[in-house]
Amino acid sequence: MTGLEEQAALLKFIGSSLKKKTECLVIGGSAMMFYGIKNTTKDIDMVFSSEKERKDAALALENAGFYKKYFKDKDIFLLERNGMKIDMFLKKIFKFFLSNSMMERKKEVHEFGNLTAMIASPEDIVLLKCATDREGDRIDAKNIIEKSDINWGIILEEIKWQNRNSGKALSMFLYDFLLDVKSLKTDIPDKIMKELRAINKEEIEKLRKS
Amino acid sequence: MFTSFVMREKKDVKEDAKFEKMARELNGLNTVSSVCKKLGIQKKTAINYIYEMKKRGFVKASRGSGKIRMYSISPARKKELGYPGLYDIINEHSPLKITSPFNHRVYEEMTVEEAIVRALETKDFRVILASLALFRHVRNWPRLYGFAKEKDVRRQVGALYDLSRKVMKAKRMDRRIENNLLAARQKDKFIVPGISAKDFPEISRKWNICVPFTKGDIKRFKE
Repeated sequence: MTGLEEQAALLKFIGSSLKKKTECLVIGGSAMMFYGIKNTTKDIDMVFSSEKERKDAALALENAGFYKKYFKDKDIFLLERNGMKIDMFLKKIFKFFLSNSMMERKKEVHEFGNLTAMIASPEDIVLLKCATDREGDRIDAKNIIEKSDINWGIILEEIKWQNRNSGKALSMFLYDFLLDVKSLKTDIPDKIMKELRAINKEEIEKLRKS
Repeated sequence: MFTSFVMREKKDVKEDAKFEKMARELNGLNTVSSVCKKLGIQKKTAINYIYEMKKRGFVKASRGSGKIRMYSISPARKKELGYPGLYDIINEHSPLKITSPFNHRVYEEMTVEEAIVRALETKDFRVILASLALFRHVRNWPRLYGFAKEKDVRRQVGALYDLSRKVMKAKRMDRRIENNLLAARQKDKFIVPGISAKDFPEISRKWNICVPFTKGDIKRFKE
């Protein structure tokens, strides 16, 4: 488990090792720590928009004794040392894509020397949490929804964009995920669930036609 | 003794949950009177509650206009790491306040000299205007020159310095630094892309830079 100070020290180390200005989007539990919603995280999730920048950041960690694994099917670098894990994504987080609006919606920017870490908005953290199938992610989503002022309109707009861009009905994952989160006594407006159902219907129609 | 410790722990957890729930209700920017209204309580109780929430990390206090105490309440216990970023530095030193589009934190302390150049980099009219006040706090002119050279905004920095001297008492710039700034060859003539005002022709001529601010904009520093 990694705490906030430990995470900041690691990002600072990466920033000091990089020769060029590099930007990344921090998502998941690590982003939640910056918002004060979570105290520790299992892994630090970073999304890069350029392969060179991702490779440079990974190399900096490898030089510091991190062991690198590459998952070709998901295109993820996993760096590990003494139980500290860092996942490095490139433009894609499992089935979801890194969109420009995700970058623009950032609520915090932390500059660690040459590494600029943009912290994903709470809306995007919730959305990206549905890409994984872990029980802990549902509890995390519940905490985000309860502790931050979620703009549900943003989530709906983003999932529509994700559906269009990926050509997959990702909104179905989101709907199932939110149903699970709702069952944990979380206040998710019924209107949003209804709208999501409508989006899913449209997607099913599209699939049938194709 | 152990039982009393456990009891105390239990009470703390209960109190924590109570104030977290309260913070959730009050989420956002508040004053003592708005807390009174929202919770339907007296002023004295509201002050006590704010104190308790602050102790637990749910409240960040600041001063609003007219020296009113403003309380930013959030159910998330946020721990600020690093040093204040560009927007905080400008708001600390400038009478013109700006709203930051995001919370900016840096992990190597940002100097006033760096903040001037970073403000120019944003190319944002309001940010650059508010940053004029930073020239009053410049102590290290070579450092300012270094940052300006790195980002290739030497002439812009010179023009802004002259502009700031028109409204406030900024320290005199090192002659050598001024000459170096003037000697810079730059293609970009704009401070804010596409915006040029005609109120300061002498500065525009001297630095060969389009000044975007009018006399009315600058006057706001004197108000």
